[in-house]
Amino acid sequence: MQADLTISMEINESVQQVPTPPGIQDIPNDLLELVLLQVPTPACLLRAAATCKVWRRVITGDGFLHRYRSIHGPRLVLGHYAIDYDDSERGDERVRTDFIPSPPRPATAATRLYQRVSLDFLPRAMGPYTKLLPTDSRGGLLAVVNGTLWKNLVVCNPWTRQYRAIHIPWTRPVFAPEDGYCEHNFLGAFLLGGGADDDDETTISMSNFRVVYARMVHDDFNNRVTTQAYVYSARDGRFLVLAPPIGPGVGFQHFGWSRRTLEMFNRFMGRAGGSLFWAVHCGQVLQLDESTVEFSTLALPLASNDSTCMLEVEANYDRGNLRVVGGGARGAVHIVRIVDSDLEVFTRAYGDRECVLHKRFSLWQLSNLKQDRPERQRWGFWETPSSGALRLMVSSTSSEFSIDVETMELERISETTYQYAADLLLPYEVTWPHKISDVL
Amino acid sequence: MASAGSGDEKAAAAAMITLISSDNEKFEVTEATATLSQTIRHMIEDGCTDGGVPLPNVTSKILARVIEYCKKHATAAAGEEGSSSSFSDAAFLEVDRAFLEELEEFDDAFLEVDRATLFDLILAANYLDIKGLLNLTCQKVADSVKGKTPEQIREMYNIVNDLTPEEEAEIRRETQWAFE
Repeated sequence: MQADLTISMEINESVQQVPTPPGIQDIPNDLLELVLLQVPTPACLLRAAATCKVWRRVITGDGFLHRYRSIHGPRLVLGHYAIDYDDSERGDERVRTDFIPSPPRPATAATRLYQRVSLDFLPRAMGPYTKLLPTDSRGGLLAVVNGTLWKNLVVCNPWTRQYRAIHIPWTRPVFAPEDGYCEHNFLGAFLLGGGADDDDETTISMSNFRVVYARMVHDDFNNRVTTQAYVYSARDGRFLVLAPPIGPGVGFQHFGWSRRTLEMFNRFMGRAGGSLFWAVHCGQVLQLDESTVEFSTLALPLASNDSTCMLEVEANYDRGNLRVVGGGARGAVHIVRIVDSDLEVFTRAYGDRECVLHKRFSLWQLSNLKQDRPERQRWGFWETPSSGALRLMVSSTSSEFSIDVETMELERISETTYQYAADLLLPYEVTWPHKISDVL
Repeated sequence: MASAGSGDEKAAAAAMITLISSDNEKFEVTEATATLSQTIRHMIEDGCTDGGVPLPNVTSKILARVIEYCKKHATAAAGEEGSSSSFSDAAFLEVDRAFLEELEEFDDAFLEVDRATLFDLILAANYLDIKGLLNLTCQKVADSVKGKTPEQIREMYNIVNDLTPEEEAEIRRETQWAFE
């Protein structure tokens, strides 16, 4: 590519003497649009938009963004927030948030970018920086909670440094006594589409976002657990009650409950087919439908090493070994689970309460790796930003692979393409340029 | 591969069309080559190609290049049509892959032109409605802005910066990340 460019530039210089050769100014706007639609990255496109009035008018014109996205994919990702959290039992929960530009940039540029998108503008009342946990992103907005104090939720636009702090209401579960003590467990805060045009993520803004806040409530007195979800609408400036804030059947006691916020958040399995999923207890998956805001549970078949947890409440699954994938245009939602060195894929038809084992594979066989010291090599799921998209990876201690659940193909990630892995990666999308008249 | 068809197809493939450039140069091409241009295809369908097709917007230099492109890609199109009867699937896939690679190499070499020619080709591809050529040439220009600053893009294409300093400052502030 680079070589091509050099050659054509040299040739160009040699023919500059030809009187009035046609230039880009001779290209009518509809053809200029065809050219600009092919510009490979959003950053290149935004620089092109700062070239002259005509180019900017074309790029900010009606429908250009829509067409650009239909060619280059729905997301124009500037980078990823990479979040690592330590939920060790010492009680010192710490969050470390980094920013990984995509494509990778030189260190100084990456640092400047990181300063620009850092969350240091959030109010002090949110707590120290090492407690701030970004939980979701959409269209340039970020949902952030305090990793220890569940009730502090902020939705912000890091680029413009705007934020809105949202106070989470408290609804006592129906089964809990008036004077009883209830413990809250944070499941997450997730941004929903901006109103009617749910799919068009660029339409979400600080003035129209909707955010769903989900938690479990544990009633110590009755030893019962339920779930609650609230939707806050920025347009209405209040919480919308879309569904009764009660969980899937009251009082399933062994629900996999923990006092540690981050540990609960670590059970978030992902988002697929318009739902959010958590691994709440061995064999149980909690699902929250984003459009109806209703919880339901799904049963996973027990794994070969699951028998002990029938006696004590112990969560065997978290993001490291249980994930949800698919559910896009291609249809089915798959739950993928790692049991020892086996990869299991579960399928569930829409509306079904049970998952069926679809396929099981030995990761050693799939990867063609030699199983030399099995006790020291563990398989787990990671995320890595690659070509602007998240890839689910499986890794042993020595090798990383991206995985395509449809074809069950593992692709080894070489050290050069393997950029970063974190507990949670949130894509951060660009702020689209406005028309010049809007800017001034 | 094109000659493997029936007698009628043979006759159609052999039919020649005369294209006349703006500087009055005449080019004889097969109908298969000419009909890569939707504009010419419609003229043929309307039966108004007798006595040649005048193309007042295209110079002989550019028309020669366009015909070179169409010849190569018309062969490709004929290869696709002839495939089902001529080859078993596996053999065809092999041939197909080799041919596509060759076509890609051809396209790369074809684009090794100076910038003025490139813009002429874009205008001609648009006028003649040759989708493949239009995409190819637009992509070439789009790729050339990759990694360039606005100043470098202006320099490369002799674009006059007509943004006021205030506008420019505002744009940069808005989307600073794209400039780092």
